[in-house]
Amino acid sequence: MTAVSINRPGEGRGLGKLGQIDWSLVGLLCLIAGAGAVMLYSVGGTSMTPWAGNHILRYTVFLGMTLVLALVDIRVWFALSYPVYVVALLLLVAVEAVGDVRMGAQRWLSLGPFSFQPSEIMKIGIVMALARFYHGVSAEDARWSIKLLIPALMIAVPVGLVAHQPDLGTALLILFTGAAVMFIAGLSWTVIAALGAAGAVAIPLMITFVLHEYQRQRIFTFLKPETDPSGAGYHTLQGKIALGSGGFLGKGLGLGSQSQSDFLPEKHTDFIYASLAEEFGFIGAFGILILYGLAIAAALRIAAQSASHFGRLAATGVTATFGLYVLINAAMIMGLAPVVGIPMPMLSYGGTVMLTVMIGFGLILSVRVHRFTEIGRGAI
Amino acid sequence: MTTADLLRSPGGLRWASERLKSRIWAVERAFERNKAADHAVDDARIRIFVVLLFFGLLFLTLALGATRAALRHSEAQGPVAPLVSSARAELADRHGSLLALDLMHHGLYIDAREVWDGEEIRRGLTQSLPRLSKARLERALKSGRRVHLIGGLTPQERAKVHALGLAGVSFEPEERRVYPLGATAAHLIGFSDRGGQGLSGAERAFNAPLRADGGIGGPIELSLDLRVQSVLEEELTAAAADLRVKGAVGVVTDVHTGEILAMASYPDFDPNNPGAATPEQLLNRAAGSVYEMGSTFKGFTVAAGLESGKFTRSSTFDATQPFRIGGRVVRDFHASNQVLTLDEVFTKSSNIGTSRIALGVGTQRFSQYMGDWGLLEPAKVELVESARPIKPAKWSETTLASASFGHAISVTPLQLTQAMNAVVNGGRMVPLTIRKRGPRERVTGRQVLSPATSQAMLEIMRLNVTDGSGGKADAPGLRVGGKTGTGEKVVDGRYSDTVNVSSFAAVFPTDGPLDAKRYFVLILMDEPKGSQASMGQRTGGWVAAPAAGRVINRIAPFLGVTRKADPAPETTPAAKPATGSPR
Repeated sequence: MTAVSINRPGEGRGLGKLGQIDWSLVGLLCLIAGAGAVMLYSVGGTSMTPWAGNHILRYTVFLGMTLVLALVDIRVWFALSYPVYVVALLLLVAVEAVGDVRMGAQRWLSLGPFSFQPSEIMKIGIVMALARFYHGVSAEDARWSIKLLIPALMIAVPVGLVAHQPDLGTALLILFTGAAVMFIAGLSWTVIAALGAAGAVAIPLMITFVLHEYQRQRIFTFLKPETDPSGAGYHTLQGKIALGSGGFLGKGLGLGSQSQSDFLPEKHTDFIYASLAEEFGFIGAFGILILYGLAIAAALRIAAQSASHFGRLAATGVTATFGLYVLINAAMIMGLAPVVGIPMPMLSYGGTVMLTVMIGFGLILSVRVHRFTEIGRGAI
Repeated sequence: MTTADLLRSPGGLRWASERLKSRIWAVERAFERNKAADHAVDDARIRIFVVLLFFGLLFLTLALGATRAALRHSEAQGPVAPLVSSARAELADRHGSLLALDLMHHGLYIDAREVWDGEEIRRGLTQSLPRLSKARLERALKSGRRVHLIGGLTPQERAKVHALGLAGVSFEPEERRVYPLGATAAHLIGFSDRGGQGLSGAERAFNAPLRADGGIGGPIELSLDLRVQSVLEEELTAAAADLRVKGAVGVVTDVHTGEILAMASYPDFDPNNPGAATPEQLLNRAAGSVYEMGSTFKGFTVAAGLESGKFTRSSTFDATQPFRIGGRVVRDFHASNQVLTLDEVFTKSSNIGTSRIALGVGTQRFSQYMGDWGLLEPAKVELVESARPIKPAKWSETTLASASFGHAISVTPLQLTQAMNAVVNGGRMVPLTIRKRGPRERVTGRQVLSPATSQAMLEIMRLNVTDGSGGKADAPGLRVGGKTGTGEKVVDGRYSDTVNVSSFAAVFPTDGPLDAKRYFVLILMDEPKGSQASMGQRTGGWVAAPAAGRVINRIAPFLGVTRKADPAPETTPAAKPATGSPR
């Protein structure tokens, strides 16, 4: 850890840097994506089509991209922080004006044959911009000062825009990620305690007085899904059935009655974890959680080792996003959180979230490769 | 030695605690926590460690959740039959015909450890059960455990497999819900899952009573009259196919009891195989879709005008000029350029006239009536599918004018039905029901309209069929009354005059005392295309009224409505063309 040599790792050029990549983290990601492919093979009727083949292809392409991103100098990431954030913000505004409405929400922008959700770019953008901001702020100011209005606004504006689409799940994800970066940057514990207390008071009040009746219902259905088994409680109940029916060892690949039938909704996307628990039982469900846990620990370790404040904050922020995905998805399937459209990263089918997550890991690996690179207080 | 034994022995415990200590130390070192002093960098590192702890704790919670789920499963397993029976009571129509019942089926299990001859099983099972997936059988044979191979074996299928005498193959009874009528009344009856939970329709609405006492209770009788339902479905499907609609709705109710005698949503599905249906088919448009109804709403506006006491049937309205209100100009589809009476506002479907009525009634009072007539909340009916209306955020004068002819407010067909029942039953707001009411059951409802207004509305609606836009709904001798409606759907942000929701709300018979037997029929076509039969028209008078007339003509005998000789027309036939093609 204290090895300071003339040629620090990561300061070399080109492919020489490849050796500095945290290959154990890459291995963990491959294992998770592999487990995803196995499950998609199973729920696709033990077939590579329609999902498993695409999943593998996508992961391979994105992994190549991640490795390239890992070699991009951390100072380039640093310099791009504000531009990425501003572009993401402009796109979010654009989506308000000209976005496509799909499934009742205005989230998508079309560019010729491609369409994408700007809120995804914002997930990375908010982390980079906040890390960039705090990089130039003294520890004292980061604790508690008027300057904190800037990051607060930087978080609030995209959260508001995304919530308006409406995509409450993603809005909360961006909010929590931003909060995580503010915390790591050194927000005063007193303030944290005060905010926590205010939240504890405000949230029940909001639920009682601000939300509409149907929104309240949606929040509370997860507490008692049996009250509405065909409506809002349906997903939760069917997920729980799948989760519970696997037992210790599971029913075996391709043999889960929930995951092979059509009762389990979104069995290849948001609810793939339930299919996995059914077919591989407690061992499978637990094993995947361990893989995710190890990946998070490895990423946070990279954050802790970074010499630059920017690297530390960016790596932690991205890890927080990733971890929250996993937590929210697993909690939702276990019936511990309301059903929101948050997939299990790398495990669920779908390119958008996987792309975001893999770009994020590109950033984390870049922090690792350039962990000894120091960045000046102001600009580069 | 298992892990538990290892932990119990003193040596093992020490070993475990040493391991734990060294791990914690390693983690601490990794984060260089020991170097943390007063330096901001180290503070950040401690905080990263806190984040790790945070995730660690939450993951631990999730692991506990997974453990609990696995444990719950092993408790539920065992030789005892499932704790909760999936059995459900039967559903029947109002005359006792069975609509849904449980039939005993069997699930086929295979225990790979007990299989003697895999080849024999392959041959035997694929021959006697052609629908069995070969791949699934192969996996089951290789699983090394007892697994569920296929469900829903009929007694014949089970007997066939049983006769093969295969070692390792066994059965377990399972209840299976069967809907003998297939797609008939599918949306009203609904369906349930294999675990015996009702998922939609009456199966969902009456889930608890159907499951009570292990499903041994007698059949639950629905308000449905199968004869009326089959006529409604037949006419609705024929019209829907002819007009190439996106969807269609038909509803028949008893206006005094609120009983739904028939309810159809097109396209439909087979509840015996709901997995094969598309969401379009599964959607119950009568209860779960909202539409801007268009002129059908004018019945409510005219009723509001009369009820408020501000207008009488002979009040006059200037429809010679387009009506300016707020930033909006209200025009008539068939500009009559006349001064109209209230009756004529209705029969000529004048937007200018209804706008003036609504404004005369006033914002506060008008929205009060809308609320009283249940148009601002989901229809009161047992179906969970009953959807919320989309109502104006605030009642400005412009919204008032729009709402007066059925724009700016979207309601479900069942809401419209419920409110129209009140308008024509003497003014009582009776909740809708899909359950048959008992012969002595007292139906109570709040008085939301005076009997006098209700009586006047019956006469005005009849007038609209004899002299107005609803002519094609008339059925010989059945004194049909009604109102046509042609709502314009919003396409790309503006009202389209070619993409319509066309409807006809009918009541029959319109004569006799207020408490005489009376029925309401709604026919709604979502996005009809013109056809030869409709002369290329898409309006309610052309696409919905004829179907309503045919339905009424055919169901009247079932409902005991007798035909009377039509009185000689009071108006001369020559006057009719003036009302022109209905809108």
